[in-house]
Amino acid sequence: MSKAALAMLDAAATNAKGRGSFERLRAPALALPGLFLALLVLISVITPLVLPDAPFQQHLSEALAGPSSAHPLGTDELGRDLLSRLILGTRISFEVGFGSTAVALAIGGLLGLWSGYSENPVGAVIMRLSDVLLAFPSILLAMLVVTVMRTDLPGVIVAVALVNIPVFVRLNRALMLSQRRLEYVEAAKALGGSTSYVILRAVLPNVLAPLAVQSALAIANAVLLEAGLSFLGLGVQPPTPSLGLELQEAAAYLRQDAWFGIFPGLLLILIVLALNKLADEGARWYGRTDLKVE
Amino acid sequence: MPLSRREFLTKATFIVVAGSSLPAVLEACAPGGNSSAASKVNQTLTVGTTAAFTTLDPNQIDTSMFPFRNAVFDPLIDIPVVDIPTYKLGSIQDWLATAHSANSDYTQITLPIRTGVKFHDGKTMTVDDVVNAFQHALDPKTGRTMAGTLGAVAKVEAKGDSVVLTTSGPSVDALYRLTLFRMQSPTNYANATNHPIGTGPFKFVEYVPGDHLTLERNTDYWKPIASNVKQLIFRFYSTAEAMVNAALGGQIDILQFGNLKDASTLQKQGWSGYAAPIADFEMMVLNYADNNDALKNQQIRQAISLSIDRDSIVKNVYYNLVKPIIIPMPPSNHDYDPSTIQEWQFNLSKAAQLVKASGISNPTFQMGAASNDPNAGQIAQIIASDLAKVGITAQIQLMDSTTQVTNALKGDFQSNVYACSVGVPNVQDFEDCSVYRPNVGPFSGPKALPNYVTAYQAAAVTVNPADRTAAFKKVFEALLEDAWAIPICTRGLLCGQASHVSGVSYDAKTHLVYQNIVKG
Amino acid sequence: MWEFVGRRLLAAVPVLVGASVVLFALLYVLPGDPAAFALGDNASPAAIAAFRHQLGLDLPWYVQYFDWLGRMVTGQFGKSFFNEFPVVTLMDERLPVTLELTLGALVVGTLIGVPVGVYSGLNPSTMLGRAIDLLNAVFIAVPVFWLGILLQLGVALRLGWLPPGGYVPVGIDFGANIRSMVLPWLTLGVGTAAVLARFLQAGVRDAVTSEYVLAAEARGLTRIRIVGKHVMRNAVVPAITAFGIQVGRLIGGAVLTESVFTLPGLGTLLWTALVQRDYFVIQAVTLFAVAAFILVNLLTDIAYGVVDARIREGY
Repeated sequence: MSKAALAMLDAAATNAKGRGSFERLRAPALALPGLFLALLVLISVITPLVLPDAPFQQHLSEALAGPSSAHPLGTDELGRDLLSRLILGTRISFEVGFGSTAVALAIGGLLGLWSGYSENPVGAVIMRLSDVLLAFPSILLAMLVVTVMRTDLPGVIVAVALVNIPVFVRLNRALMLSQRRLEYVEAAKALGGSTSYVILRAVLPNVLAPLAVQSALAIANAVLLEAGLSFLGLGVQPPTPSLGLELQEAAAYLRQDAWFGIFPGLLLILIVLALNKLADEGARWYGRTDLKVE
Repeated sequence: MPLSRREFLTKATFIVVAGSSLPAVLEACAPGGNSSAASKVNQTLTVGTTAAFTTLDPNQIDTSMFPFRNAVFDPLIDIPVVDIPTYKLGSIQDWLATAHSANSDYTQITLPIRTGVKFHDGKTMTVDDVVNAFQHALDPKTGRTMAGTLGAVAKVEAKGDSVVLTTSGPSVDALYRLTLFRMQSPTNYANATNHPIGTGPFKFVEYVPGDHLTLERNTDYWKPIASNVKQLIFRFYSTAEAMVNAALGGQIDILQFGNLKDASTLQKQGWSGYAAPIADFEMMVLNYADNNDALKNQQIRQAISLSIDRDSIVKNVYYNLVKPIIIPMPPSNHDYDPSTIQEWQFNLSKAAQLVKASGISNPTFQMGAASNDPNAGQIAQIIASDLAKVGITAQIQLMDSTTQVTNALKGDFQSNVYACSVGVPNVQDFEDCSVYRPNVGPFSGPKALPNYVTAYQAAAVTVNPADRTAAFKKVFEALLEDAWAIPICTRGLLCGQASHVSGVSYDAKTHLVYQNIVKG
Repeated sequence: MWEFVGRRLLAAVPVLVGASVVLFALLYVLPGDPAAFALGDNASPAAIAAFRHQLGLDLPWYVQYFDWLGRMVTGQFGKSFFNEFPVVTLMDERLPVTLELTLGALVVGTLIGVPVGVYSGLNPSTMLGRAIDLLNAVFIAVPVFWLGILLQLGVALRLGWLPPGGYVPVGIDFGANIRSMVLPWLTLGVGTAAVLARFLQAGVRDAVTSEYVLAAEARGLTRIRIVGKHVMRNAVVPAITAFGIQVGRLIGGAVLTESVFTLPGLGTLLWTALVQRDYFVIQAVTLFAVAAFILVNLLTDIAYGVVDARIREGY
């Protein structure tokens, strides 16, 4: 990510404090994507619990059939019901998205906040390391890490988290640098607060807004990255579906059965779209309308 | 320049080369002849392939996958496929050797060498050249894959105008394995990796790795060529999809190693498509020496063998274009005995009983499959689904083929769905698939099961053909009992040619033979 | 200004060295042995040992790393393990293709994104403006490879208007070259167009409502002149930033796009090398991508700095 983009982040962080009463949040703009995602999460978590076998049952004689009453979205190349595979696949994609972002937020966030606050030289080392990782195009880094870790869900989550950690490190350091000079931080220090108290109890609650925005974007990127990795054969293991894996399998059969490929692609787009819209609204709320970082 | 799609659809005339009209075609298309038919026709043949060309040295490439070898290099002797769909083999033919014979105890092979053969750089090929090239192929440092294949040969020497090969023990195989050897120029070893020189009908022009390889007609070829192709270009595609798209877009004339699911799509465009006559087997290899208790148990392994629904696999993954096999021999082979396999057909209830009898609760194992082979993944999923019905859990692990082979070399695998390349499919040649060679190659495990080894060693030294068939039947029975290397089906990859291409034929190793290809 | 550039270039060196360490470490622990790829199922322990020895893979890791680093610094990038072509030659053959793809996508993205962004910034409440908003959001969310496959299937195979893949060098046939690149350019470019359009839209809207523009309107300047002079100059800032952000996407997207359209570029070279474990190729191409990434970021920062003096002072 270029320094210019980071400069915008820093500027945004400086503006964050004291900005944004909740009245400026536009309820309709948040409601549609928010409800959509919540519904999707609900369906994707509950359905596999109720019908655990549906995504895996093979009906070999009905392979690549289009939509029918038994299989509302059709079947895949081994005759498995596409609707149930898409639902489970959505859950897996969310697991990658939320899981990797949570890891990146936790590790990157703490490292970033700490390196912005403490005078310790290790902070500078962390920043240089982040720069190094940021210089790798994300798909390349993820490809390498996934191949090293021998793919499957944990490997993919780690790889995607690793790609996002430097972003959160930089963001949080920038946020901390802007907050550090403010009165409430000085006050906390003066009252004898330890480093962890200042970071976790004083500063963190005040920077949740930009963090939330970046998290939404990170989840969207994680979902897309996982799809790209699966497309290259480096994602989750079959027979477990993920949206990316379904796209990869469908790509080979588009000529015979176009339905197979259209639904996972649409779903992926809608999810990323919803997440981006949430991020946009949050960014607009705390002051920058054009914030879009990778 | 390849024809654009519109062009080839409108210009699609083709010459049917039946045996009787061959002389007429020869005359019309003789080099130097200026027939109007030849000059109107585009004489560049473009072959698409998904095989990854790396080195061009004929000693160092995977013996089952390289279409260009026969264009640039000649064998001493070779076996043709006389009927492509059934993979019927013909008899051994002489190429750079003018005859071939083995002595009565199969310890020596004599090959008189043809005279008047020139390398692509103009030098004449001598008997000493052949000996030199053969020794180069036998040396593990330079021969790499070929050294293992020809390993039975202990000594090569020139005797007059013949090359005499002496094997380390009686070996009927050695003569058949000889068909894999390709002759290259002994003065070119240093450049063989990316600038090959051979004696074949086409010579090297240009190689751009990962993109294309260009060859041009060798006008000094020792054999008359019926083909009218002046320039031969190989184009590489990283996926079968991309290659089929190129075929549909008119960018290639011949297609090698695509996916069978596209056969009907191509046929609608006038292509002849068929499952490549590949002597490869798709098989399940179970590492019985691993720490996995389930796989150590013979009954569990037999249960796995009985749970493989070959018919469904052949139908769903290979579109009924390949044959299910239970022993490592194609049913079209004249020595195939159907009684051997009677008890081992797909039978889930029998498998379930074996699982119960084994006494192992909740048997679980890992099943590896190459991620760059989509068929392997599908086969693995079908098998895993059936295994679940008899109480065995198979966890699928996709990994790229390099990782798969590396792990296998270390013995670090539990099982693999694996495409094993076989040499020339005769009775005895199934063991060219290194899985079956005890203690050799990545998948054969750290020690081979004693029943199999005993039967195999007894059969290997039997030279009388009738006795060999019986001896190898015992080997197959031991294989089925031990159930550690389970053949699933012959492997099918799509090969085909556009409607304006004729005269396509193959040798027993699925290499295209270029001498007769005519582009109309 | 040159001091600024000099400082940034100097700062890039440790990043490159750090990247080389990370890359080497990843490759070292990467499972899968190039010997296994070369020898396949005919591999014997002796053949493997011979192969690894020939390539120096049995040396200790620090010897391998410093050997490689030393050679890289003197411009010797090594040879492919398998086809023995010098890595430089392999990259030379493929660089023009990837450059044509990424630069072309950038141009296409700009040609589409700029007018779209300016229009929707000036007319946010019209139907078209709203539709553009939605399309932008969709195209930012679309996975590159999915778009590529759909274009290939629809435009190339169903309609037959353009070739489904493959590359014809400019020198051989200019027309065929353009035809083979149209779909790849679109595939990579629409994402850029969408991001660019959003940045421009926001920048234009901000500028249009700003005080100096209102003052200019009050002075009676026509809309076009206002847009031309004041609005665009300020909207250019976020646009440049958009470019910088897009570079990473373009490089990653190039790998996927080249794969879908069978373009013989650096992306497919890297992908093949990864499968084969052709270490020198992987290292050279990845570091080249990292260096290119750093360079383009530097260029956008310079452009940004030139346009907005405030940033320059801050460093």
